[in-house]
Order: sequence, then structure tokens, then C-alpha cells
Amino acid sequence: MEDQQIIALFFERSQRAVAELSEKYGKLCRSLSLRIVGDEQDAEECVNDAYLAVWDTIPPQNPSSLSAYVCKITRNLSLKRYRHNSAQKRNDLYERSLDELSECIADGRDVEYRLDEKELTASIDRFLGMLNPVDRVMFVQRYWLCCEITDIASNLKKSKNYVNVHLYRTRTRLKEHLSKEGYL
Amino acid sequence: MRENIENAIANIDEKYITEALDRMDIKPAQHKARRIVLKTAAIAAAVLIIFFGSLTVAVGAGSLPAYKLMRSIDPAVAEKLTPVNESCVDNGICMTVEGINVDGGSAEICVSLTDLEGDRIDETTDLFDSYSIRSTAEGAYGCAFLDFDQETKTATYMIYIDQDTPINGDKLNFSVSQLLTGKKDGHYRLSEIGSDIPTVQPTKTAGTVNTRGSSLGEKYSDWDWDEWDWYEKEVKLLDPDPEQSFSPTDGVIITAWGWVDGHLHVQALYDDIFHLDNHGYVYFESDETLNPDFDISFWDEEQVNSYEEYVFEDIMPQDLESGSFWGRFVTTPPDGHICGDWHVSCVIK
Repeated sequence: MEDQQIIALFFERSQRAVAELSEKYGKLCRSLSLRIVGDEQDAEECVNDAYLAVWDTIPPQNPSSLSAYVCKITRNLSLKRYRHNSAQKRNDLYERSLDELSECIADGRDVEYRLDEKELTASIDRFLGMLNPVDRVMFVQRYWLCCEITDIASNLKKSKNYVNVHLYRTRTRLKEHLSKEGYL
Repeated sequence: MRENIENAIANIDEKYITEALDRMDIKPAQHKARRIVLKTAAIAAAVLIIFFGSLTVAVGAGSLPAYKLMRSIDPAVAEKLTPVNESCVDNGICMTVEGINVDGGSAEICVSLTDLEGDRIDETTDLFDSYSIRSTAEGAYGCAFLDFDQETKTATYMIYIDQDTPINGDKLNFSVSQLLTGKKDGHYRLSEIGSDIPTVQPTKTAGTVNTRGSSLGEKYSDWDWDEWDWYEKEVKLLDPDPEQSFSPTDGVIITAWGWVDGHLHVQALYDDIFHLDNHGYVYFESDETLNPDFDISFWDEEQVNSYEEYVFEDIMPQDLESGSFWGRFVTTPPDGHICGDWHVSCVIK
């Protein structure tokens, strides 16, 4: 079923809306959540909560990309769950991707120093806009969708080494970009 | 600081998320596998033999048409199937799950398609890798065409699923969302590529285009992908030449050919590959068949059509007099891409 048809079902408040959403994007959302929380049961709960959040927000929201919309909600809920759980169990996959990214702004400043996150997001958006599509997709799959390098290589039909090298170069460029824009 | 970047990255523009999601492969390697199968028919046959030959456990089945059909192909496979006979109609096409067998993480599902309104289903109809079971596990998927019944306009397939973890629950939800039909599979002589082939100086390399992948011939078969990756980036790629372009069949255009640094390149453009799955390969036929040493595929600017550049490193100019270029192309007409929402729940016994 097309995304617009699923969104129309939400607008009609049809019970089929969630079933269709789950049918089309359930697997994607579960795998995204699992990569963050690292636990199948937690992931399942996060995805169910995400469906409920989609139900509660459409309408009035009418997302242009249903996949990005439901993934964003799933990601946020999964991060929330992960932060709640992380005192007991840490998920290596998510931590590794965050460690890599954090190196871009690790500059020895006081830990209390806080950047304006909205401005930082805008700066990262500008940076992403300057990348070529393949490097941008790699970056987003790694640091937003938390994919393993192997999976990114498979998604983009590239070698693992290619993905590693390109991600490294992109992080280096991000650091330069953030420095140029005054964040470092 | 770590939290800063974590929160900032969480809110990046949705268009970048959508772009990345569009390149996520839920069932990895399906398209690549298809391409390899096309090039090596022997492997395709072996897969079917392994597939049919590996089924051993017997489960009683009813008198379903698919069961009869399966019996005629391999009685052991037929005996394993549990009858389901559940149907779903959408877009005037009826999908019936005839029978299933689930064993741990493996499943075989016998499915038939019947056009209730016309003649869209034929012996070329393909499920286009759009079938799925509801599962979070990753696994290998395959689909074998079994039969087309002209009288009932019914095509029958066997789908096999092999995933790492057991298929859980007492129900299996099976769905199909796209079909390709009216496909043509043929060998076409590319007589426009004569023996007077120009030497050209391309302006781009594989490192400067949006590549989709590559296929390696025997010469490169023992290279690892990292090694190939560095080599590939330097390969020069032809600029499409409107003067040379011709279409051997609908959906395929030969866009350029020429000598590049002593190697013979032939470039093809396949229309709308995501919807029509147009694909193929080029080869040189003389006393023997000479396949390309490698080919590199890359997107056009809109990322809708795909170029494929075939490189023959060992053909010499004098060889061209004694043979000719051919292409094997599998194409689908634009109206052959049918979307629908066919889904059936099967009880697993």
C-alpha cells in the first residue's frame, strides 16, 4: 500500500491504519530500535509505542515521508528507553557509532559547556547538504539509523573498507566544518 | 558534548533520513543475486536442484492443484506441504497460498497467481522480490517459478525462506506487493557495433559517478572486494554518445562504445530498473563466447535508469573481424509493473 493511502487511513481513523503501517514499516522500525536498545522485547515495545504516537499525531500531522516520520519517532522512543536502561546494560553498536561521531566535537572543553543544539543541527544539515549522495547516505545510515558497517556496505553495494574509509573522511570533514562555523 | 551531538543528529532534516532509508536493503543481495543467476544459468539450475533435492520430511497434503503440480515435479516436496488454500484478491489478481511447510527457520510456501480480469499473468510473471513474511529476522529468500496454466491463467511458484532464527508463532503472514509481467528475455545481435571502433577519451571514472555495483569475470574472481574497490575507482567510463546510441529492444539503449586505454568498452542504459528490473549483459561471439572481464553499473542523474559498462580487456582490434557483439536482455514493458496488496495469514501446524 502506498504511503499516502496509509496516511489517509490515519486521517479516517481507520483501525487498518496501524496494521498497514506495521505491515510496511514494522520490520524496518524493529530493526532500527533493536540496533539502539539491543533487546528484542524493548524494541518491540518501542515500536508499538511508536505506532501509538503516529496514531496520536496523524492528524493533524501529514508527513511528506511516512517512513522517515515513523522511524524518527521510533528512534526517539528507543533512545529514551536506551538511556533509561543504560545504567544496567550498554549497547555496543549504538555506543560505537556515537563514540565515532563524538570525536568530531571532542575538544577538551568543560563537560558543562553546552552548544545550542538547534544551531548545531542546522549546521550538520548544511554539512549534509554539501556531501555527495553516497557519502551522505552512509553518514545517515551509520549515525542516524545506527547501521553496522557491514549492512551499509551491503545496502550501497560497496566494500566494508570503502565504507570505513569514506565515513572516516566524512567525520574529518564534519570536524573541519564545525570548526569553520565556530562550534569548536 | 556527547549529548549535544547525540541530540543534534537526532533532529537532522527528514529529507536526509528519507534518502538514507531509500537505500536500505531490507532483503540484502536479492538484486545482485538475480544478476549473477542471469549470467550463470548453470548456477540457477544448481540452486533449483539443491532446493528441490534438500526436502525430505513428509507431511500429508490434500488434492490441491499446486500439490498435483508439485507431485509431478518432485513427490517429496509435495508430500511436505500442508494445504492452506487461503486467497487474497487485489487489483483484480487473486493470490492463493496453496500450501506451506515450516521447519525451524526454514519455510517453503507454494503460491499461485490468477488474473481475474484479464491476461496480465503469464509464464513470465515474476514476484519481483516483493514477497515477505512478517519477521524481524534477516534471512535468505528465493523464488522458483513452477508452472503456468494457460487455461486458468494461473502461475504457480515456490518461495523458500531460510532465516537464522525459528519462524515463531502459530501463524505465518505472507504478503506480495509487486508483480512484473510481460517480460521479454532474448539475445540480440548488436550489429551497429562493427569492427571500426573509435578510440575515445572519457571524462569520468567510476570514482566520480554514483556506482551501483560491479560484476567480475574469471580474471578477477580471486580479487577481494577491497582490492577491487581501489582498482574500480580508476576505471574510465564512456560518455554516452547520441551519435552511436541505438536500442536493441525496448527498455535498453546501447549508449556508447569505444577503445579506452586499449580496452574495449560497451555501455548500455537500462530503463527504470527499480520498477521494471530491466537487466542483461553484452558478450562477443566468434569461435567461442567471450564475456566481459568486468562490468560496472552506475546511476543516471535521476537515479532511475542504470548504466552498465562492459569492459573486454583481451579483445584485440583484429578479433573484431571474426565475430560480433550480442546482448542478452531481460526487459519488462512499462505497463508490466503491477502493484497490489496481497496478504494471507497461514496457520502453522
